[in-house]
Amino acid sequence: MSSDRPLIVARRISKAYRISRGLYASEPPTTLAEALAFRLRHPLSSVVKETVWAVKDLDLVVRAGETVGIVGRNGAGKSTLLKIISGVTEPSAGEVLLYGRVGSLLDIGTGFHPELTGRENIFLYGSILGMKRREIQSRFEAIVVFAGVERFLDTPVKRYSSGMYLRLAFAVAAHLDTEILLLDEVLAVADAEFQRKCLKSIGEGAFRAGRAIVLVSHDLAAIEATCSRAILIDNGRIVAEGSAAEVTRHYLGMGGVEGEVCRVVTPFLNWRGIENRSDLSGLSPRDDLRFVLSFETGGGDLDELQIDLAVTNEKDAIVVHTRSEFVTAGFNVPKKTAFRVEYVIRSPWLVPGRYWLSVYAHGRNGQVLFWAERVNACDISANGYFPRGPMIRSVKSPVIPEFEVAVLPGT
Amino acid sequence: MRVGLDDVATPVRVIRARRGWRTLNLNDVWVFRELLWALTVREVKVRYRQTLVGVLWVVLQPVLAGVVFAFVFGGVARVDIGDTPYFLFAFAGYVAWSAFGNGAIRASTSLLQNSALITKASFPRLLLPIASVLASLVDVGIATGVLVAGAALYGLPPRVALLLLPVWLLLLSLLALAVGLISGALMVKYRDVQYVLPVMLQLLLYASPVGYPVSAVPKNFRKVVLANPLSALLEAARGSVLGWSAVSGEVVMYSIGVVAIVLAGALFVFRSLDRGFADVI
Repeated sequence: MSSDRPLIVARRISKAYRISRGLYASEPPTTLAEALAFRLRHPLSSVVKETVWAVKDLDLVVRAGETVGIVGRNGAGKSTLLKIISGVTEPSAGEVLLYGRVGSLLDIGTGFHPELTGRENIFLYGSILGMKRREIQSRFEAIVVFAGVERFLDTPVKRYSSGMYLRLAFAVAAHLDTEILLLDEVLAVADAEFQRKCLKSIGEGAFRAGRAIVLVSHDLAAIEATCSRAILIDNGRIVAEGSAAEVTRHYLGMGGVEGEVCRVVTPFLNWRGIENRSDLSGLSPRDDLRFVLSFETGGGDLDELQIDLAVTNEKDAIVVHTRSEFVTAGFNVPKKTAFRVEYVIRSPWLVPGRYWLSVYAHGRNGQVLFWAERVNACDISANGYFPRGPMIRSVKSPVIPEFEVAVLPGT
Repeated sequence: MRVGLDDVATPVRVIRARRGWRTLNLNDVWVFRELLWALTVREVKVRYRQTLVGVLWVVLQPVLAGVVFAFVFGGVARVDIGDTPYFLFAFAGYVAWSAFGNGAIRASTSLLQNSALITKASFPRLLLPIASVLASLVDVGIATGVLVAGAALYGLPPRVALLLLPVWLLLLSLLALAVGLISGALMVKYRDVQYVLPVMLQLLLYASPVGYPVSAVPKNFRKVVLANPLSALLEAARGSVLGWSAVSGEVVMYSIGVVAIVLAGALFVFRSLDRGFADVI
């Protein structure tokens, strides 16, 4: 791998956003009139600006044939990094050397015009993505077939269903043949089957053409399935780098921060977190979900403590809900005591993807002791589940049990 | 532009922070000429998609302006323009004006209207105002066709001078581009510019010889009116259809010089500001 040519070389790139503070009473001026009025009233003062570093001293080399995934929390700097490499926004310092043409998909369908027909939009969108007219012409048929819009080519896209619209945009994008391809979360909006089709074409494309692909996504399963390498960004810096599996595991280890939406804390029970965070990625659908929850009681003894768990999927639907009262009369814990609760959910057969754990603790008569939604993520991956590869992305059900199929002789 | 992958020593593209003023690098526009064309075609197509309304409005606007100006300047103020029918005179003046006025408005709003493109796609931002001016030239072309036909109906057949009309319209469009570049760049940061610009242009319309000839301007004001580079270009454009104009060759040369300087300055300002567009728009 190391002998391959580098296609992207980023050296100590930084991006600062300057936020005006201080002298302006509230917001910085957004109209020329306000800006001039401010200058007239304060002719000599200079505006205090605060610098926020979205990306700081970041180095990155991506070689031909590599697909690199970028993961990190919202606001970590992933998208800013991609925008700098693609040339949409300029770095404040550092430089990026690109040894090939760049195709960037920071959004899907940017530049599509609803009044124009499918055919016209293919050419428009293609040139916005950086394709030459000749290239678009030579791939036109393939694009149309990929999108499955043959019959609607001369219909304005405003009459397309949202699915058709997206498929057409993706189809153009999937036929981008640049040496460097940058993708930001774009696959998130497509339906599962089409997503799989695109990922497949991306996965093949990288190695076939000796391309370099950089992919930003929250979908850790997709990162693991597609990327040969991943980097984890936090506060604009690379904090972990390595194989996709290692990096997503590291990312989940940071967990607990991203998703939590609601927490109710009482003096009776103190939540100390999940102990086995690092076990919660790379799980197969058949693996047990095991959580070790750490608590400490407050100033009073607890009688008949019950712990309920809920596991929600990416669409925030509850796919597993367990109540400890189904299996136990409750636990008694003396005051001021640290204790752990081990929860094992046997083979939940969850479809690969990202899930969130919510914890609900209550005492005698249903008294609420602790309640937190989305305290930690866990990732189920398709790797090795079925003998024929990770094709379960297109499953329409929330669970995917192990199953067998056989042809039997007729009777 | 396809560069061999083996040629690792020279990057296809280098992205680094720009400091201060930068060179114009108009070569970008040439490299991205296919996108420029696609953006222009998009604007033209979208505008004429509802064919009847689109074309009709392009012709109706200067015709109505011609009627009103003929009434105000010819009927009420009784400006002397010799034997030329006043409607035709004002119609011609307004068609020439629209090459500047409409182009400037559309170029200046092109950045805000394409903010999604600016934050999500990488291309020289300069293409957007240029595409708007080019698209606006299509309107001007249609209106010019009607104008020339109208002049023939009034007994003024096309003459050799008409061959220069595209040159004058192009110069007016370049001035429009200059105004569009500066106001468009300002608009990205200061949204009120989009309300100020149309008012300014409306005032400029009356301060320029659109509804009246420069020859009707009192002698002591004439220098002031001719200092406006629009004056000579409007007169020259109109003159190439009507056969007479009241400006000298020197004034025309002066105006062309001003257009060149203003445009170069505007390009310079735009290229220095455009690095920040994606961050503030």
